[in-house]
Amino acid sequence: MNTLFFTDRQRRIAFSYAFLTPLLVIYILLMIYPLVRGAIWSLQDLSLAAMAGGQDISFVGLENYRDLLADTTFWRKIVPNTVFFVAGSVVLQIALGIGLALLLNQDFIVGKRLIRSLVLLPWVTANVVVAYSWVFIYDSRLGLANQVLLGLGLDPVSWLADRTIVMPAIILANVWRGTAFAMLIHTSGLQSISEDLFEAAAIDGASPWQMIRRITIPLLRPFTLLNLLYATMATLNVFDLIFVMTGGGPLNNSSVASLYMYDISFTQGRFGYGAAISMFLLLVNIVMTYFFVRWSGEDV
Amino acid sequence: MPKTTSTSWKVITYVLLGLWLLFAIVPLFWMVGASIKSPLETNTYPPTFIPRSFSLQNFGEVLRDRGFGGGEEFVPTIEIGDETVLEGPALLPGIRPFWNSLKLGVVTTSVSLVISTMAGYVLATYRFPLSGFMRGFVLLAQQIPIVLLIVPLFLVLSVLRLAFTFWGVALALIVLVTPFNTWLMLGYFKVMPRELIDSAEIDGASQFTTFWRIMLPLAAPGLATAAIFSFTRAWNEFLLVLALSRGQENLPYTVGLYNFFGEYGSGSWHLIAAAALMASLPVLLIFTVFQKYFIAGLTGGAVKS
Repeated sequence: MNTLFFTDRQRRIAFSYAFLTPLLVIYILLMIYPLVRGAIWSLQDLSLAAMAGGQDISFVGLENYRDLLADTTFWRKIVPNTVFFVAGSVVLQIALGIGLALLLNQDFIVGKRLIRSLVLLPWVTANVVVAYSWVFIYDSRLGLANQVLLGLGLDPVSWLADRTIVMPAIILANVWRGTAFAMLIHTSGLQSISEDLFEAAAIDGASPWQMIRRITIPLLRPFTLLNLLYATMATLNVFDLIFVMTGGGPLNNSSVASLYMYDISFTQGRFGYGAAISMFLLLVNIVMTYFFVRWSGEDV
Repeated sequence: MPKTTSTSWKVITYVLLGLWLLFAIVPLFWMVGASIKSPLETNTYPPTFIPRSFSLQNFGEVLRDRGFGGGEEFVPTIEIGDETVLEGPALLPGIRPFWNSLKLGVVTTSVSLVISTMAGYVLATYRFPLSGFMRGFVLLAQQIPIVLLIVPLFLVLSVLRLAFTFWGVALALIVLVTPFNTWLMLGYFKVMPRELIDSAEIDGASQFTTFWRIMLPLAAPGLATAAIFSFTRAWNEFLLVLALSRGQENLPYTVGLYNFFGEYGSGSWHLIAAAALMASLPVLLIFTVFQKYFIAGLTGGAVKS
C-alpha cells in the first residue's frame, strides 16, 4: 500500500529508525542525560548538607575541579593506590596469561579442555563470591593464608588490616580472578599464527626460545595490546571486589578512584564534588582508550 | 610450536600448569570445604584443609535464616504493573534473594536482547542518515563505565519514580549490558551475506519479514552469546544493586550476601560459604553447558570464535 507513495529508500529509513528507537530511548534517558546532568553537577555546589539547609543550588564554575586538584587524599592516597592496583593487576594478569596460553598451546598436553575449564573457573565466579573467598583466606585466625605462612615457619600477618600488605593482597585476588581472560585472548592469538612459520624456522635451525621471541611474541602483539586496553579499563573501574574485601580501608590504604567517588557521593553526600571526580575519571578513561586505539593502530 | 619436545620440558610444562591449577582451585576448594564442614569444624582453630566432617546443615540454615532473605517465609510472585499474575507456594525465606536475582537476570536479558538485536540489525544492514554516527556512538557507549554515572542515574530513576524498585534496578542493568550486546549483534549481522537480504527484498518481502524470517534465525549463536553474557552480568552485578536498592523485598543475592556478612561477621564463615556456593551454582551450570558462548561473551567479543 505504501509502495506507491514511498520510495524503497524512504521505507528503509523509516524501518531503521523504528528499530533504533528503543535503543535511542534507553541511551538518551539513562546514559546521555545522566552524563550531561553529571557534567552540570560538577559545576554546582550540590550536596546533601546544602539541600538540607534549604540553600539554593548555584553554579560555582570550576570550583569543584579546583578542590579536586587541591585534594591531598585524592592525589597522595587514591591516585597512587589506583595506579598500583591497575598496574600490578594488569601486568601480572597479562604476563601469567601469556605464559599459560603458551604452555597450554603445546600439542602434547593431555586433557586440554578440562584444564582450560578449570583455569577459567575463578573468572566465572561472581566478584562478590571472589571477594568473600579471599576475605576468608586472609582471615587472620581461620584463614588459609596464615596457615601457609605458619607451615613455612613464618609469622602470621593481618592481611587486610595492614596498610602495606592490603593492596598486594587485593591485587593477588584480582590476578587470581582475571588471568584467565588474558589466557583466552592470547590463546586465540596463538591459534591465529600459521604453523608454516614455525616449520620454516625449524628448517633454518631456530631454537624453540628463538621461535617464541622472534615469531610468537611479535605476532601476539595486537592481542596483547587489546588485552591491555580491556584489562586496564576494567581494572580502573573495579568497585565491588575492593568494596567488599576492605571497603577501602584501613584508612583509605586500599581505596581506589571509583570507591572514593562512591564514598564522596553516597556516604558524604557531596554530589557536586563527586560528579567532578566522575567527570575527571571519565576523561581518564576516554584519553586512555584514545591512545590505546591509536597506539595499536587498529579499530578496537 | 616445535614438533619434537624433550621429556624434561614436558615435565616442566605439567608442573607449571599444575601449580597454576592448584592456585586457581584452592580458594574455591577452601570455600566449598567451609560450606560442607560442620559449623564447629569451620570455626575451630586451627582450620582443617581437608574436611573431617560432612553436613548439609549450613545450606539449610542459610535458606531458613531470616538474615539472608528477610521475613518468616517467602512467596515467589510475578507481577505485571501492580497486579500479581502468578503466585507460587510459600518457600523458605532464604530463597528470596536468589529468586530476585533470577528475575533481574531474566528481565535484563530479554529486554536487552530485543533492543540490541533490533538496533544491531539495522546498524549493520542499512545506510541511513546518521547511521555512521550511531555506529560510532554504540562503540563509544561501551567505553563509558556505569560506575561513573551512578549518582545521576539514581536521580533520573527517582524522577521516573523507579528508584528503589525492581524496575529501576532492571533498567540500570539493561543500560549496563545493552552497549555490548548491540555491538555483538551488529558484528554478527555484518558478516552475513548481503545477498540474503537483497534476494528476499527482490522477492517482495518487507524489511521486517526479511529480518524476522531470514536474518534473525541465522543470528542464533550471537543471540546465545548475548543472552549468556547478559544473564551472567545481571546475576553477578553488585554496585548498581547496592546503590539503587533499599530493603530486603527486591534485594538480589549479591547485596544480600554483603548485608548478611555485615550482620554476622567473620564468626559465621560456614554460612557465608554456603550462601556463596549456592549463588555460584547457576553460573557454573551455564558455564559448563554453554562454554563456547560463555567465553565469547565474557571476553567482551574480543576473542572471535
